[in-house]
Amino acid sequence: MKEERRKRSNSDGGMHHMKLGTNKACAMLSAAALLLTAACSGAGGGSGGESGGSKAADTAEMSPDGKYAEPVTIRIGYYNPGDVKWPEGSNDTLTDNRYTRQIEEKFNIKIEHAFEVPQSGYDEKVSLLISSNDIPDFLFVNEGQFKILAESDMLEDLTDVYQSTASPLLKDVIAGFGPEFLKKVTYDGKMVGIPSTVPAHDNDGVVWIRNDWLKNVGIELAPTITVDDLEKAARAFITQDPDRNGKADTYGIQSTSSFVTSTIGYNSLDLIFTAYKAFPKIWTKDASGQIVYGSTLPEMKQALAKLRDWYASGLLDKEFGTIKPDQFAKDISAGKAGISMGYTWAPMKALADSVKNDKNAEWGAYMLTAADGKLYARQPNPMGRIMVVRKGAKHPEAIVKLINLFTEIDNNKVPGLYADSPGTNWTVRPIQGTFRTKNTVLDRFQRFQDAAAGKLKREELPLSDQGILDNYLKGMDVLKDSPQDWAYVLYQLFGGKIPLSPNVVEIYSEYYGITKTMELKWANLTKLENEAFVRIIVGDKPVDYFDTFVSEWKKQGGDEITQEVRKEAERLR
Amino acid sequence: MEPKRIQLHYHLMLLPGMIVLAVFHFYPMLGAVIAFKKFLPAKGIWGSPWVGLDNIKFMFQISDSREIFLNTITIASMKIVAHLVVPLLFALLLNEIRIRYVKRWVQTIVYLPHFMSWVVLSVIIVNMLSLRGIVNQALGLFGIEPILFLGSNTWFPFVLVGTDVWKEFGFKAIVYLAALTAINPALYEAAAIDGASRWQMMRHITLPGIATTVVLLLTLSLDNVLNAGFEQVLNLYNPLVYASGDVIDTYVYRVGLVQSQYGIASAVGLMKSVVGFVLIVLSYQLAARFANYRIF
Repeated sequence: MKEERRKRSNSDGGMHHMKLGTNKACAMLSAAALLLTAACSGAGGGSGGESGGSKAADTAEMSPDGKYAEPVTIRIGYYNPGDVKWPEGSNDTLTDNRYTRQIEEKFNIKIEHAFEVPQSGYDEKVSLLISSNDIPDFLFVNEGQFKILAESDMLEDLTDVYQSTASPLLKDVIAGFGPEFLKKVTYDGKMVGIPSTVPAHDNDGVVWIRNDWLKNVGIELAPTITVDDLEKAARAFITQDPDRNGKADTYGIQSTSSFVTSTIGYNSLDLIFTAYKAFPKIWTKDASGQIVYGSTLPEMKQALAKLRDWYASGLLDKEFGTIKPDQFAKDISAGKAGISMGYTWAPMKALADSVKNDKNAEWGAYMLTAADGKLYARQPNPMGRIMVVRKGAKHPEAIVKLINLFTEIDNNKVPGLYADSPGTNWTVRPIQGTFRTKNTVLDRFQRFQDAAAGKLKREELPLSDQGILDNYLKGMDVLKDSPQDWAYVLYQLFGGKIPLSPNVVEIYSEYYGITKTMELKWANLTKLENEAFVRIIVGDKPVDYFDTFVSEWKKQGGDEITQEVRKEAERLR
Repeated sequence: MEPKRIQLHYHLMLLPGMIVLAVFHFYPMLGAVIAFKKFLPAKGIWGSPWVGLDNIKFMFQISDSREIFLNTITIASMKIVAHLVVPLLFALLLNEIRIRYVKRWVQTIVYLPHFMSWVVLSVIIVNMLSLRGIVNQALGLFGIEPILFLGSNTWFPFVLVGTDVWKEFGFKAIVYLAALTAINPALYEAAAIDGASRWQMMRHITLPGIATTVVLLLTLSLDNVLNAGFEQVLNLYNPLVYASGDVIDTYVYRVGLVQSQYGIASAVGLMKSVVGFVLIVLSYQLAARFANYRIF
């Protein structure tokens, strides 16, 4: 189930060819031109232009940072980020914190949560509200939901609002992802959504290994490892009592039932697939340059065969197929497992508890590469969730003002309001999407590396990052008393080294959308795929069952969908 | 004249229940037309365009619709039988206990799980049935190799039935216990005087005394033959056991809510209701013939 949801949110909209940097202004111009033609062709529709026109009279309200004379309340859909750490001694809550207070003071905007659900239930909640035609005024939706909303004419036209109220910075950030970005949120010539952005390398994969265990079993690993190195370490972790407690109670490679995703997941096996140059769950190009589905290529079979061997010999957790994704960290926290494959930022969620429970735990970041020494990092869809406004909602420009504010924070133009408390999750803010430029993540990693090497002065770092550098300079052992701070430094300064490596190759899906046949048949094909992979690994089916899977997949709609994807990708090019 | 007026009373008393039934059960049934439409939320149920039988046709084209139907029927039938037999046995045994407070305590304890949600229970069950969990440790004492219950297509249906029965049998036994109290104690006294053993009393007085209730509950449960327990399956299954555990409801959930294909999801749901309806009519006929039980 999770798998599909992930698949879905990863196939949300977006584009993959980014021609960045050289001529931002040109990109801006073409985006503006696009909007202009969009506005003209949309004029036949009427309503959009008129409602914009009447409001445009009030310039303070429509300007990017103007304050309302009367308080304006906006209702927004919200997911609860889970355990939130507020700064010591503050009484902040999700609805009353530094962000909401600043927004009220600056814009005279009050924020109400139309609903609050756990993060994992957000997409479902939104789908439910859409199907009952009961969406709140302001809402982040994924591309599948966006499509339904737009087709059903449930969204407010934001074309004029965006023109008048979006700050130059926001327009710049969005235009930086190329003209396709706006094309994706334009429907019938009207812009009906504001896309949040996902910078490249935000989710690159890192193999986290307990260095103290490696020392105990006498293995030395280079920062760049191969599948064989990983196998060696996993075997030693099972057989050689790495925690020195005299019991054979430690495990090798961990995973969960969502072990294969379109980018990377916690304790997933995604890095093993890319180490075999297999790109499951995304649309990739075959040798002849045709778009094909990555899960059906022969490299996938090799990777599965390897995992099958590991499973049979016990290197891969026997139970991985039955573990729910949200329980991924239990053996790691308990100090029973010393290998975790996941994100650069995995320490924040997966590793902090292991240090809390065992001060001796030392985690190192390793880069798992393919035979040619490269890490093929599948990149997330550059387009995140899309902010939409319900048709007929009052003050659509209010949301743009908020987005302007957070765009400034996201791009370090102004400091984040919780810069003094690195443990406070960014998702506590009312706008739960980011509007960062494509290079935001890499730039930040690079700044930390430069600062650590003394090439960059402390004062040259953004305010929020100075505290993290200070923490780093205190030394990792001291930091373990505050596991969240420890984890953040591990993420930024150690995990962050890996995406900076020249051996990282960016892999984008050739297509992120949903085609007509996919709407009908994708649930079924995903089931076929997930079931085939897991059953091959656990030995329920022979390795050659992969070929049966491929032919079944093609027969049951895969071929048809592939044709559609080729056509769509061509159209969007 | 007199009998008719008394009947009117009863009908009036029925009215609130009928209204609730109409509002919450009959009215939503009209929504089933979505099965023949391409549902667009903004246009609403009635405004959405018709697509004829497309959704139904598609449902039968799904390659594993057979698997899903079979899984559902297998799991649900096993549950129906188990839910009939286990609470009945339990009620009979409990009825034989003469110490009142023991009886009360046991009854209270066994029906507690009924009030727990599957979300909570699933976490407990996953832990208990894991390779290093308590069940496998116990099996290990007998030299049995650990079994991956939640990842094995052989075991998974039994896990579903077993845990569901464990959760519900205490609660379901209440109905039987109530039926047992309705048996005239004079019958037992008479049997005792005639020298009947307790086994004979159970065989000839207790069982015939509650036979009607058993048949009634069986009849009422037959429409569940396509309900394999959505919440439970959703919380316990994973791709490894799709082959034995993916049921109609989980499929509808994935297609309908996750993929937003409301039309197809409704078509499957409608199909389920039609089969359920046929079954309940059928089982009513059977009940009328074999247990002389009639509602109408």
